[in-house]
Amino acid sequence: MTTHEVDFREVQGILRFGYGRLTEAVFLLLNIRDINAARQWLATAPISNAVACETAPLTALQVAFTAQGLLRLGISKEMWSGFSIEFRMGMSAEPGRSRILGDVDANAPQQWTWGGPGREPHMMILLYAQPGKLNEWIKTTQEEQWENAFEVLSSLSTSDMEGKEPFGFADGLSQPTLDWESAKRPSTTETEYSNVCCLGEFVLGYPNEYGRYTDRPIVKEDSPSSSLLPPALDATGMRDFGKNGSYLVVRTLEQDVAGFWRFAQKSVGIDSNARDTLASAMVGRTRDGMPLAGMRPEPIPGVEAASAPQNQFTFDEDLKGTRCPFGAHIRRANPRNADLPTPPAHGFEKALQYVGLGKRTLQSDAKASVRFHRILRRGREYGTPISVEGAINNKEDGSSRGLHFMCLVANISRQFEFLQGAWMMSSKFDAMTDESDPLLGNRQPVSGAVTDRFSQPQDSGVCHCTTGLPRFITVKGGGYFFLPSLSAIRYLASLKVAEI
Amino acid sequence: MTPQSSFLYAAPVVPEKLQSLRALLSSMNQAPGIVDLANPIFPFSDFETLHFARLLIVSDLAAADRAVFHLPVQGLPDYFVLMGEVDGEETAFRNELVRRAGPGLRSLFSHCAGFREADELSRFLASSQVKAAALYVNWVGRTLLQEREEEALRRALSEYARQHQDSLQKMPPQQLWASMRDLLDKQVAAGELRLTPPAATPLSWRVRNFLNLLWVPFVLLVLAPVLLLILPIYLLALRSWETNDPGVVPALDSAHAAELETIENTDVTNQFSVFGSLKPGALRRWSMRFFLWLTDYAARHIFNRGGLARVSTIHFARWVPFDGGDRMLFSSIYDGSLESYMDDFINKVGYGLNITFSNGIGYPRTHWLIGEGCRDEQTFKRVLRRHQLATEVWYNALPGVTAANKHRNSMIRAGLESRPTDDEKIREWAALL
Repeated sequence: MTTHEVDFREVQGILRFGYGRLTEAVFLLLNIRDINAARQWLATAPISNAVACETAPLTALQVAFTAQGLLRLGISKEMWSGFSIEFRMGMSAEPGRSRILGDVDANAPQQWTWGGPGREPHMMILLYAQPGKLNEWIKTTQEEQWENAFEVLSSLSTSDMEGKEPFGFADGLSQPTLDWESAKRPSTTETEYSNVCCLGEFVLGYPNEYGRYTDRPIVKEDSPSSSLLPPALDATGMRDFGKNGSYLVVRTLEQDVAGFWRFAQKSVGIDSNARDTLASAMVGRTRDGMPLAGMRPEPIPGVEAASAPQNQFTFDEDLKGTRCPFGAHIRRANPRNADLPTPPAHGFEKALQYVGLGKRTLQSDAKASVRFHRILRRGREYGTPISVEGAINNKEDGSSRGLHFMCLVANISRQFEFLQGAWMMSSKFDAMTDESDPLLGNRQPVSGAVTDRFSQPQDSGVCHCTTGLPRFITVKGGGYFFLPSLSAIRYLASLKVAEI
Repeated sequence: MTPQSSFLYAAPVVPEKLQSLRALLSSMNQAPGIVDLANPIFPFSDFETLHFARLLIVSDLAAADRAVFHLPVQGLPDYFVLMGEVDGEETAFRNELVRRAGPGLRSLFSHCAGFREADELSRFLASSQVKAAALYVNWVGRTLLQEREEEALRRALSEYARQHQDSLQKMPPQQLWASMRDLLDKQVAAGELRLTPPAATPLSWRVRNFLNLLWVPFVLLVLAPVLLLILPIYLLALRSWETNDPGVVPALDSAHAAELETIENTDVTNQFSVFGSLKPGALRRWSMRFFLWLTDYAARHIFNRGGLARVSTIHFARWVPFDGGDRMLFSSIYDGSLESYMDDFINKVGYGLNITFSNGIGYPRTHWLIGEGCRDEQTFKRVLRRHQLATEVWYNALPGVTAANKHRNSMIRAGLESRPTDDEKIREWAALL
């Protein structure tokens, strides 16, 4: 369908590329000082689009706005109501939201270094460059009105850990494949796991897995500057501000690398292999990225042959969790299931499955279908890396390291917040109890019960249970941003001061 | 086993006393969404058979939408509702209610029309009952005592298994089972654990249940020719409704959503109540009653042990008609966040939602009743939020224990009370700990 053809000149680049070769990156959190100067800067800023080039670019620039930032730029009330409610409220303003995300106790937003209640930035500028080129690139983007326009609140620096995250595990291996050609037509019930996701799950203005258009701001045709925006495909007489845009979720996660490895070693005794086995069980992959569940022979749509050893697997062959524990990080983040209960059935048994009858275990139908809850990750590590031995032997300098977690989604609540709340932080995930994600869990008791366990099912029956997991990750900052299309940015740049 | 009963007492609130009733209810909480168990009005934890309870003011928050069907928007009463789920019969509970919470209930119902100081409380409550058109119970006959004892059992065995996991993992299955059984016997003898044997199922309940089991298919059989005659008329009417019903496109009230989010997710289990008006028309109303009648039958006889079709996260649910069927209250207790609950419903039992809710004003358009409807995901979620009531006070007798946990605990107990037949089954049982 030509109506769904994507104009890549409109889409900001990180929706399509991870910029893996641009290993230097910095993320600037800004407040807008002068609205007109900011608009002028936006009008001329060299924002990278998603057009594929012969050679990888040397640099990239992306721009995103918080709800406060958009208000400051003067968007209309009509447009304001088109943004999702969680975006408008922000990540840190409501205790109810913080409860869902697990941002309590040491992770509470009041203690964040950026993005806490009342301290949300207006904008985030993402700067990427090939090694050695970042400083020059920063200077280039900061000519023309920069000083007048913006105040830099915080500068999130990043480090190149060569494909590994600070604990030492290969990261970023599993990403959904976006259906840029809009070839996928999901039926009401999908019976097989697929890594191909409807474009509308990540890019606004296209159909999502429900076959519908996620809510986004649309403006009337006769409103000022609306001609800069494309028509809204699901509403006649309206222009689509959100089309080709997305929501960007950012969370700065400080990682206690020494604490993690020391705990792993202490839990198993002195054997370093057993320590690595426990750590891998918590993640669900070995340190070099091999999934514990083991590869399967049949290909998975959306998983390329090159990444088959890391990604061509599901958990259908591991229904007892003896290979990859049920609570392991990657099994929580992506259960690789489809719409029907596991294990798959046929014929009459399958018909019974549709109405919840027939053979079931506690875990058969305990998780939602993952195709409605995928995220596209674009995070970058920060801090100086430290080796496992260095961490255990206390050779650290007291500096912090971690991950600026970033993901792109069209529906923050259904995708990111669901994943974080219902799967990662839940101590009742997958019909289990007393354990939340071994890496991310905040270890806070729930209704008087602990959440700091980690269980590894065994063939012999009795689980191997590790208890008293300390907190390994502390949330230090976060925010919900909107990543507009290039047309939408031109629209923002052209806004006169609007009546709110 | 002792089957559970649900109760719901509703009385219209005197409009001038609404604010004071709200203040009184609010005083029963220690924090938003968290009840104060020591509150002077209702001693929740004194009731040993009370699973869940709610005190709320029921009103149609989307009353303005009634205008699209030319229904009056004003003049509809708001109700004060006391509802909950107990073990055993409602009549027995009512007596206990009056005995333990009489003065508190009087002070609450004094805000309602039709209640006078001289009234006998028990009779007033009995006459204020509103019966559910359909009722779902996750596990018929699982008493609160059983849930408490089995949770204590799981914790004790789990703790023991963790402390001795190295040796237990090496034991042959039969020996493993024997040592856990031994532990149970010792703990029971020492008074640390109890496993009260289930009471005999009351004969009157068994008779009523059996009669209901036969009655519904019997009626269907007898009415079959009539139903077949009505079917094409119904289908034509259905398509006409689906095509011509005026759409209601509500904007999301962010203040209301924020209020709801403040009281949610303080525990792993949440309560949920929505109230709305039904579209007018005799055929619509009758078909709604018919579908709810079938839903009740399915819940009683098919989905009475562990799941409502594919959804296993609901503890209790009910559909309650108000005002002679003009308006409907749907109320449930479920595990997890509302987002996960609604998604589960759309994906797993969307057809069920469409069948039972599509007659509500504002529900997204269905297609042949079963299709579309809630699959317009964002509209559906918005409509639900719009009609959702910020329940003023709610009580959970066993917080922190999900429906899946309760099921697991029962399986652990069952595997101990009768030895599993083979080694493989013992291993499966041991994995539950």
